[in-house]
Amino acid sequence: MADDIQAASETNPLVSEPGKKVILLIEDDPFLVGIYREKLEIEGYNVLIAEDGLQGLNYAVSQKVDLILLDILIPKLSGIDLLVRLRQDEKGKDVPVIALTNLSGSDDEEKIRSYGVKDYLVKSNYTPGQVVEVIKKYLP
Amino acid sequence: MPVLNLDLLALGIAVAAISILGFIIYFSNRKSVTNRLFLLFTIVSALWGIANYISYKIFDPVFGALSVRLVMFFAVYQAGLFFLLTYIFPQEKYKFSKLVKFIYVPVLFVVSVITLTPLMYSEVIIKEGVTPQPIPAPGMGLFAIVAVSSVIAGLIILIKRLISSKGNARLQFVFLLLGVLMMFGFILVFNFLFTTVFDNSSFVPLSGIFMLPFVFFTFYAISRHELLNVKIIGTEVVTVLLIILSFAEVVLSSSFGEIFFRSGVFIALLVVGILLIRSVIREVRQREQLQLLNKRLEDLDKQKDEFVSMAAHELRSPLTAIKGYVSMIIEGDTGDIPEKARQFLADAMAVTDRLVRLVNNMLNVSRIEEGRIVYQMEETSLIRAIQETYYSFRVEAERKKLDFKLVVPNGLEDNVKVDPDRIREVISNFVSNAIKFTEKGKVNIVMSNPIPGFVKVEVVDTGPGISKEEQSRLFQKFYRAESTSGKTFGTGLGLYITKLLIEKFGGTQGLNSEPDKGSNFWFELPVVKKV
Repeated sequence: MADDIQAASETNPLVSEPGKKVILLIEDDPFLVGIYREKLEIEGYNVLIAEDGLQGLNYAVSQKVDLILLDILIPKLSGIDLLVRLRQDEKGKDVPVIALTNLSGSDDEEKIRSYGVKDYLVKSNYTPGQVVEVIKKYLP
Repeated sequence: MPVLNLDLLALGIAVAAISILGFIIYFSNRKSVTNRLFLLFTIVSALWGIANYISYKIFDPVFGALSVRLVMFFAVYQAGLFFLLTYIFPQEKYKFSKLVKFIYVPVLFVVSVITLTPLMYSEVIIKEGVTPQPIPAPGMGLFAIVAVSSVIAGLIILIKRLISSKGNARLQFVFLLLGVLMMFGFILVFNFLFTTVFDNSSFVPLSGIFMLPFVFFTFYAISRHELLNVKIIGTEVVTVLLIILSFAEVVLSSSFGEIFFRSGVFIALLVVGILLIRSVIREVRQREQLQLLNKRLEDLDKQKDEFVSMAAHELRSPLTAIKGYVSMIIEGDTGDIPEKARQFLADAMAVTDRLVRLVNNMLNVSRIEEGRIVYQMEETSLIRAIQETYYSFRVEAERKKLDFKLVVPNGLEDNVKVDPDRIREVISNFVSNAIKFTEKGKVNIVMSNPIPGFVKVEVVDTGPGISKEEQSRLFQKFYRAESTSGKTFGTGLGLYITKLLIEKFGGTQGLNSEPDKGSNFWFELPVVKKV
């Protein structure tokens, strides 16, 4: 894992605008990435995108991240495994996470909640605007 | 006194039964090594029984000696085949090792040849009125070593297999062992105990019969391994006992009249017994088949659930994207749009939400039914949950020009313990139905505290109403009400899920409706005191 983190730090994808909160969006559907990024940027956040779990974990532990929007069914490293490893990391263990997924009602949901996610949102039940409202609760 | 020669009759029956069982097994699966060995074993046993009988009934030195030697000759193979049978049972294919092929079998052969010579019994002493007395020779020791070690090895194998096997296979070994123990038990009692302690060798000629338990139980274990069921075995045991008793009566008859009558009873019992066993077997088989089918159904049901779950998940992604784009345009994130376009998009949004609800219902129904759903119970304001739902339906109601209102009295107690997402689904199902079926007039959501401690939500519409007959079926799974235009809507899951959820949250739900006047769907939840 140390190597992964090293590699990620070398290619810092974020041109950070100072003073803005950073949201790490871990999502593999390109359409949804487009929509959420657009909406979040309109709302004044810096958005960091990871399209798979491994990349997401690397960013989460190597970058300054204020909140993570986490899809669960993602390539390379599932959202659940990502949470497990994130919570073991010194830097990543306190980052607020909102699960944003289309999985619902299953045992997985219970498991994910047990890792201390702030909220568990079923994507199709929320518009991007509503997602932002939830984010604002945790990032005043 | 019985009129029949019991000795010979008993032996004849035993030999016939042993051979018949052997051939039945052989012909049921000619390729199986177990079955072939079993046939060999039964043939040797039958021959052994006959030789044994003759050896006690012949009073001629030459033939007497020959017959006792033959008894030992067959006994060698009997012991050898017993060992091999336990060794490979119940396999159909088996390749014997070199040790067996090139050492064990040749040794058996050599010993068996020796048994035919005076090395086994030097002579037979025959005296008037006493059973013939064979005189053992040194070769007897060799025979004893081979035969006894084969039998003991077979027994050890049997017990080992019995311990390490499970279920039906275990029962098979239990049967084999039972047969062996009974066989040895008989031999011990009649051939040993009676001859040595009581000096009574009158049962020895019947030794062929003692093979019967082992042959019978092995036959059973091979032929019925799929039918080792307590009920069937019980029926068979009782039936066979009755038949044996009835047969004994025939044999012990003291006149031909009695033989005739008792034979009639015996045959009747035989026929009824066979019919009885067959019917029990059929019943047990059917039950087993049902269990199998049931298992398959359960598997199918699971597959269906997994499919629905997967399909619903895949449906949600594009729905999320559509909702996202449309909502952002409506919210002005892409700049100003004409009012007409905004209306259209609002409609598109409402329709998309309907689809989202449909997917949610599909996903939820089986999970709720099976208790596999995870509820996030929390204390929450019912007013807030309803307000959110109310707003999400406003566009759809306005489009139909309905009087769509939410009525909340001042000071309403509305703190409830529910899963907020699920309670929104309940309200959504009620409201979406009301809007769908109401062409003009009103759809009102009315909240109240009918009695202290309970909060009630009513969705009142001026739709077509529902007949008494339909009302009773409305909350059933997959039941779909017909609208006045004869069209049906939806999957028939919404109200069913609503009912399951409200019951889960400790509430009640119901419906008051009259055709042509409208409907009033309501639910009631217990109020929780705020901490």
